[in-house]
Amino acid sequence: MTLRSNISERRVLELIDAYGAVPARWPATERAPAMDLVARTPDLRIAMETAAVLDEMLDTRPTPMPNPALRVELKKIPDQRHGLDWLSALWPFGAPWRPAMGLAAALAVGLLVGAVSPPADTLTGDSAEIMLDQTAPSDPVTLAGLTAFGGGSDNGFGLTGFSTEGDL
Amino acid sequence: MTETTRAGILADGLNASISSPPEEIDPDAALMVRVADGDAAAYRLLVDRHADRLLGFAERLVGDRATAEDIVQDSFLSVWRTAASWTPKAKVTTWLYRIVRNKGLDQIRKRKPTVNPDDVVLTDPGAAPDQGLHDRQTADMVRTAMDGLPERQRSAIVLVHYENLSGADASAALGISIEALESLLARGRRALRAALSSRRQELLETTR
Repeated sequence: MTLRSNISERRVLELIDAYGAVPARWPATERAPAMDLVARTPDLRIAMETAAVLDEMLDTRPTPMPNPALRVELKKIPDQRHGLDWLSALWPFGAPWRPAMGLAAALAVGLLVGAVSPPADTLTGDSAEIMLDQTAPSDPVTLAGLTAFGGGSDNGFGLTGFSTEGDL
Repeated sequence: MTETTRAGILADGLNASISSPPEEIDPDAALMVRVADGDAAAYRLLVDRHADRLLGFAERLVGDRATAEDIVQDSFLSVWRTAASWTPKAKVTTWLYRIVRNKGLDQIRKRKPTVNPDDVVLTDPGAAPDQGLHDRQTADMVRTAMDGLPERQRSAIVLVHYENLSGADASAALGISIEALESLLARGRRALRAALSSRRQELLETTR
């Protein structure tokens, strides 16, 4: 059986340019006649050698490792679909576990800071005055607002010595 | 999907090894019919069959591991939710690749195309240390060159070269004709050859 009339040299060059030098990647219907033409055509063999260099370089890129843990998570999807639907409705921008993790982390940090910080009513009079000096507002608008909310008297936070008169 | 169609697919799957050439039968078709009916066991079989290769595809497409894992998770969620939309006209594998590629495109559009080499898990090449180092350097150059390609060219090369899809399947996954696929492949390989040739020359000059 002869394959010589089935394919042109130009078409084989197109195959090499597109699919590279491994005939297994070429379309099955064109593979045999194309290989036959390569075997008989020096220019095509040169094109094959050039393409093979690129193929070898591409093959140095390692195969990404599988992730068994991810597979386990993927298999849980049918069981979790109701919860995920609900979360996805709230967070339509991607995987809903990411914002959930962010919220959980923020909550944990908040609880930690709250647990290790001293309560406000344990501050001494001196330290409370220092804090107020450092944070006392100076603009009249803010001061007026503070006065309206009880600034200058016992403000319910257990702090004493809070006065705006000096700044006015 | 009609019951008649599903019955036909199931029959095809059962008779595949007896009467038809293997390449003409989609081994996942019968599985997809069950997934479309809400069969969680069939869905888990689909995960076992395809999760690893889809993760590899996603990782090569977007360039980092964490994003690739999100893409695969999101893709399988879509598979479970929209399995009924799959039609026997589309090969399951190409349908899955198309879902992952579309999710990957969304991610690529959201961010700048930067790659952190530490994000990619490398397999042990098992070669001598010098050869391994050389391959590692070449692999880094290839990854950089690949990431510099337009997304369509990159997808085409990843599907054909790394995922070993036929031209017909790769073009179906990308939703283009075979001629368009071959054009993308040829332009992509030409660009890679140019990029890797110049980098290779730089490497040679620094070692002199």
